[in-house]
Amino acid sequence: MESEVLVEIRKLGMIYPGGWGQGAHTVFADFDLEIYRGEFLAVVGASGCGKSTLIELLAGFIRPSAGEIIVDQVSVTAPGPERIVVFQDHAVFPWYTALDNVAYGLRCRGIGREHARAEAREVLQRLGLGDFLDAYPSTLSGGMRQRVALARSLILRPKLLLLDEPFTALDTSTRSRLQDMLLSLWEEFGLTIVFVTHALSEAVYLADRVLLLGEQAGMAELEVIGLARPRSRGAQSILQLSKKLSGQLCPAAVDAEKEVSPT
Amino acid sequence: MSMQGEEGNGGELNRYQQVLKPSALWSLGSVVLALLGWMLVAWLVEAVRGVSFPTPYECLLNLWELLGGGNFLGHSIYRHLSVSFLRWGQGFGIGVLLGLAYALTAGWWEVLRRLTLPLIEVLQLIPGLAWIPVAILIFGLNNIATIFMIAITTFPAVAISGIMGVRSVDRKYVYAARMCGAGAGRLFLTVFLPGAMAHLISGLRIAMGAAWRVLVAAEMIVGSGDGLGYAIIQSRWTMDYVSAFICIIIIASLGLATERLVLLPLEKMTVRRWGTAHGI
Repeated sequence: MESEVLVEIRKLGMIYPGGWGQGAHTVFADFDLEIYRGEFLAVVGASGCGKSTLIELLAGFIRPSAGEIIVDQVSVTAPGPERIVVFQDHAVFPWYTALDNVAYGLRCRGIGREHARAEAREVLQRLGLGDFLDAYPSTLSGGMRQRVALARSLILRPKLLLLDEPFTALDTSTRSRLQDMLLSLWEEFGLTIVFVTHALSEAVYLADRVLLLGEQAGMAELEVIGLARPRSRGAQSILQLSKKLSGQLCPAAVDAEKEVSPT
Repeated sequence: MSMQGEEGNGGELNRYQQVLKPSALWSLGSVVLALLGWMLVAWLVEAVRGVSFPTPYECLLNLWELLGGGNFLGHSIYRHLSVSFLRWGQGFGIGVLLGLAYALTAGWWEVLRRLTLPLIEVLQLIPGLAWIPVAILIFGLNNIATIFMIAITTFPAVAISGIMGVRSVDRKYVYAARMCGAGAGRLFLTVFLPGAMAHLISGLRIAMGAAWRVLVAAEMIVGSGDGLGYAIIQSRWTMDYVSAFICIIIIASLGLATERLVLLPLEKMTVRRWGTAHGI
């Protein structure tokens, strides 16, 4: 691929120390990955395979045991506004209105209250929340809260947008709508996205490339999704590719699942 | 904090509120009940022990007289009241500020918390009045001793509830603030303080009541020469039980008023509006 590399993960190692009577848990060992500027990368794997750990490492919330992560030529050592995470349960501050939540990042940059709010209003309107500027998160639906979280991220123009199973807790139709909204924002803002999910069909529908993480450290495969956009959810090509990848991801897990639930 | 649960509860509450409206009637009912109980006790004491016991009516007459501003144990009732209120405000204010500062620092700095939290838990077990000898030894028989006792009673309640509050703040909010670029000061003000608010308000409520009780008791003993606690104990020596009763009622009303005029609005403006309140 001729695109410019934005993120370089070099010889990444991540080991969680074990608790009482448990050995240490290795999540990544000698893991290398390059993420291109403007790319939509999906990360898929069973729970416990290190998907969320990868997000936390990229965000700088935790430090790797070995190796290095470089974003735009700078080594990641701490959280920063150029790498923003959208969490599964949104992490929108309950004590601020939608507007003040979105303005928060700008206020941290020292931008005046009125100016920050004006800009936040624009982004919220772009995401279809123009009527809910002064609503507190507890009065919003799950999908709306996730849109506030997206708006809070976008306003900072991050170099890297990290989404950790952002739509998992939503119902199917809301999820589809937000997926399409994310795709149009990705194109409009020229974002670079790392999207963690456990649903292969979601990954195949959205991403340029899919990173498959196995349960054991070191089992990682990159798959290029060569499908033209715009894609259609029900398309045969997407279903087939999802099926093929799920076989690749963990054949044993597929068998085990069959044994547990015969339906 | 599930949406469904809250909506369900809210609906039920509204229905109750509609049936119970106007709530003023119910408050009036409580007052009437209290007065009836008081009259019953007064009547029983007179009948059984043959001692005269102040009745609500006598107290009302006496209160009217006192409100006229006449001399009551060396000062007007207003002076006793304002002196007590000021002492309470100073002691409570110092206790709250120190408790908050401690909670925000120790909730986040583990070394400090591990070293000091056990001490503060012990502090909370010590009744406010037990500080009297200590306060007198350190400060002498004066106002500062009283304020010290109030502050040291307030501090642990606020500190412990504050620490619980800070520690209850979900890590994801801290992450979110840090990636947005928030520094330590902003993190305290915009994440830990509002996140701890529900716990803090319960702590403040406990601290407020405890501070009133200690204030009155301290004024009885430290011998300040003014204040409502002093007035109660002096009325006892002068056999003016009616006035003592009035002072007790004034103290209770002040406590109730501070709760209703300070804590309740704070709660409505913050955790109830945010949907992060603990129960009702």
